[in-house]
Amino acid sequence: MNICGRKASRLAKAATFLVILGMLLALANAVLTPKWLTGLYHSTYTVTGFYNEPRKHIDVLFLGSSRIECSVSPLSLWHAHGITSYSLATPLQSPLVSYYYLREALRYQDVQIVVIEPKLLYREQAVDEHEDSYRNTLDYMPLSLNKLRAAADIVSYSQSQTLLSYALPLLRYHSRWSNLTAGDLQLNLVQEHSLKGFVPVYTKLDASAPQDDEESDTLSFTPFGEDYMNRIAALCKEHGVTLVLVQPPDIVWNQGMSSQIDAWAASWDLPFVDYNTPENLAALDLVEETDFFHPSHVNIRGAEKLTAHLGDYLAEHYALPDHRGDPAYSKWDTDYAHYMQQKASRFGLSSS
Amino acid sequence: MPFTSFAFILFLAIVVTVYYVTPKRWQWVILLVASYVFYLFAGARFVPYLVFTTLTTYGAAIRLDRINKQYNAQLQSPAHELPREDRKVLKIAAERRKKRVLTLVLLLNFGLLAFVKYFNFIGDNINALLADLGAGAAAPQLGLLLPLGISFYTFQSMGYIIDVYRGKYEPERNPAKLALFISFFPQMVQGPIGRYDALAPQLAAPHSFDYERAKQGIQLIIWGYFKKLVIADRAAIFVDQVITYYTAYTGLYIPIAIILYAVQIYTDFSGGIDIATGAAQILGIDLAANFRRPYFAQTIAEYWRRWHITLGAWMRDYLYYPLALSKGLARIGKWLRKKVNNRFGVLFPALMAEAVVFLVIGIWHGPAWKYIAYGIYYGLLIVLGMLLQPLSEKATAALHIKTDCFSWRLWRVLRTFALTCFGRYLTRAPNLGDSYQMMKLTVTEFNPGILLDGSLYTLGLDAKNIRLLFAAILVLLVVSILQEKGYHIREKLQEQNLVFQWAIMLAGIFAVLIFGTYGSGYDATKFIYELF
Repeated sequence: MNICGRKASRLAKAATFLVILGMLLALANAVLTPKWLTGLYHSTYTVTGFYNEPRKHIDVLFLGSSRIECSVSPLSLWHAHGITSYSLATPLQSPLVSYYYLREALRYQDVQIVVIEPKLLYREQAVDEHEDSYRNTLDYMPLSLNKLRAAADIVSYSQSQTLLSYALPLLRYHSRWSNLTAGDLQLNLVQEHSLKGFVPVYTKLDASAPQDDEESDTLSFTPFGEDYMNRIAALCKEHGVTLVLVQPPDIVWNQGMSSQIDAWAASWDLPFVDYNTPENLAALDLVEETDFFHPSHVNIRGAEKLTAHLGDYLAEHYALPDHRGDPAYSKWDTDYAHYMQQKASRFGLSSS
Repeated sequence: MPFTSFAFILFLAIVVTVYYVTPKRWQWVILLVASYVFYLFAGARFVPYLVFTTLTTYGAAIRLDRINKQYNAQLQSPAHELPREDRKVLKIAAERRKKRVLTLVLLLNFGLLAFVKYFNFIGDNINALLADLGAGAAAPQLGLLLPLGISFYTFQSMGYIIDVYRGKYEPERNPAKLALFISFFPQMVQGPIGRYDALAPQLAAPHSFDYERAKQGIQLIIWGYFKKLVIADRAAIFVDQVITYYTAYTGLYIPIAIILYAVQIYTDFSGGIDIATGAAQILGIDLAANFRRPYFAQTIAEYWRRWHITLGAWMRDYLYYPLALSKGLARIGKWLRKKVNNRFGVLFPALMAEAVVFLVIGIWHGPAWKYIAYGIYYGLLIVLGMLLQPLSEKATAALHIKTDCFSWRLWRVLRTFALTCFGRYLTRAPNLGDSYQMMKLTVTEFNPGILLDGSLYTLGLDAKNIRLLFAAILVLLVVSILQEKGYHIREKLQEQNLVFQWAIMLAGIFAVLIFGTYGSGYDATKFIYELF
């Protein structure tokens, strides 16, 4: 073999080796990355389901913490008004994550309204203390400039995390090798979220159980929270997207926060639907014993009430298209029917 | 930029790419720039130390050469043919001038090393002594930070200047090339301590990319990471836990931790050297070997010929021989031969030289009494070994012990390993008092039950990690045995089918990536967030 031929052969060998290495790295990443499917919240499905939605099909996007995740049912919104929506709210969501998921949503969907929980204004960055709340949403975000920028922002606040570990999660999770279970080997995760990101909770408030909150109520925005909420507001403005602030009901809500959020909303000329005001609470007709499963989280009964009210509000104030009857959206009807079945069976089981 | 960082791998990849696309005559410049960039990552404040050593070494070497040339010119000039006596005077004068230059440069550089490394240690001891005498603290404490690799590059450059002084080779006339010899980045952090005649020509020579060589270099780097991240850093978790709280972990815990520490320090140091050697190999440069399976040594003297070989060789050439062959020690030896004992007299210069060498090795290891004790310990072992050798041979013969068999060699290997482990009590404990306590607690408590009741799994490494550690040590042992039998593993690997070669390389890469001890770890309990 001449020199050129030998060089080409070696180049081909090296390239093949690198391809195999890349494939094995992808496999190791898939196995070692946590599936985030324990407990109530299945953030992985929320994220993979979002990316599996047909492009330009979602008109309303929900962002925020588990309060939003448990409060708004996109399928009920569909059934009542034909509005297509998706909830990308995740447990203890950081406004940093909300911001970058908004950027992603604007890439994939033609979003007209973004509904966000304004309590994110009070969120501390806590990138290391609550690393899980960042990882469980970013781990399954496909590699993109937005993901890298989100990771770079996180790393800038972190004492221990690296940018590379977001591109190659194996570097973060490698020590899980000793705790792997059969579930970790399940690589073809469900790609759809049939409830469009909604987490229905069928339990009721247990007054005797100790209730913890993720943060103490405070009367000052954090610089971190305000910075990212300002970015979100600016991005919506830039893209001509309507931003609506919706704060779900909270039994122990500090009314001082409502005034502060009102002021911030006014500064951006944003509507604020506060479900902690006496009027809105009365309109929802929530019953503490049956409509909450936690002092700051409604269960499915509360969620249905809140979704119905919010749907009326959105339909009344914004000219959102009604997609019912459109064959391109027929799957929404199927998903709604499944949701009804699931609800019926769960209520049947717990009909007490 | 630690070797174990991604930044280093990226840095190496960039350097290798730029190096091989640069015209060959300028490749050495790329290495020099890369070396200084590497050093800048450690901290710009350390660069002046490196520049100081480079400039003083360069200036001294040129000055030594000028003295030699002047002397030769005076001798060879036919117009000034000198009588023998005058020639002798000229020679003595030249030697004296050379010695003055050498002494000055040695004092400057070893003085700088001693200053940054030992100033606070000496000050501490003076203050402690004054406190004992009832006086207040007198010696100030300086916030000195040890420049990266100063112990290594100082020894490397001083070895060069001594060789120039001895006329072993001509001095380097290009200061930038000398700067590269002193700062070559792969060996900057922890050696090996290179010799000018072996390393400098390679650094200056043009290199074409060699696929097979690069592949072998990468394999060596992976092996180095395996030793460092899979074995050393994992063993360190166990060792640190036991030694930090040794009063709680008495009896067998301590010798187990010490044996693991022996493994840890070997795999840590030799792993780093493998990474350095592999990196240099990709660049077409061979570094000196620094380890040759030291725990297979049958005597302590042999152990030191296998452990940190380049430091041992440096000590042999620049300290041991000058001392052992010095006129003063020869005179004392002669006197002892007549007055005390012939054999002792013959051995005396070597014994004294060994004792001094190991004292210096101890001091070189760090500014603490425990390292000085460590040096004295090995000095004593070597001296006693030399003195008692005839007695040992007689006893072996009298007891009809077979010495040409595996069991005898195994016994000697285990004995030597045990002696080195004893030395680790001195260096791993925080100080000499703790060393003594650890030794005492090793023998005053008897708790073999910990080997069976799972207690060993509670010291930072769970059962799976302990098993993994032992499996990795077993891999190291098998590889070491094969190497000891003369089996060149990487060369043998080249002879195998491509699929097998790739399988081994991929296994190595993933062993490091998955089983390596790095990052902040994964705490499942911290990551299970239920409600919000």
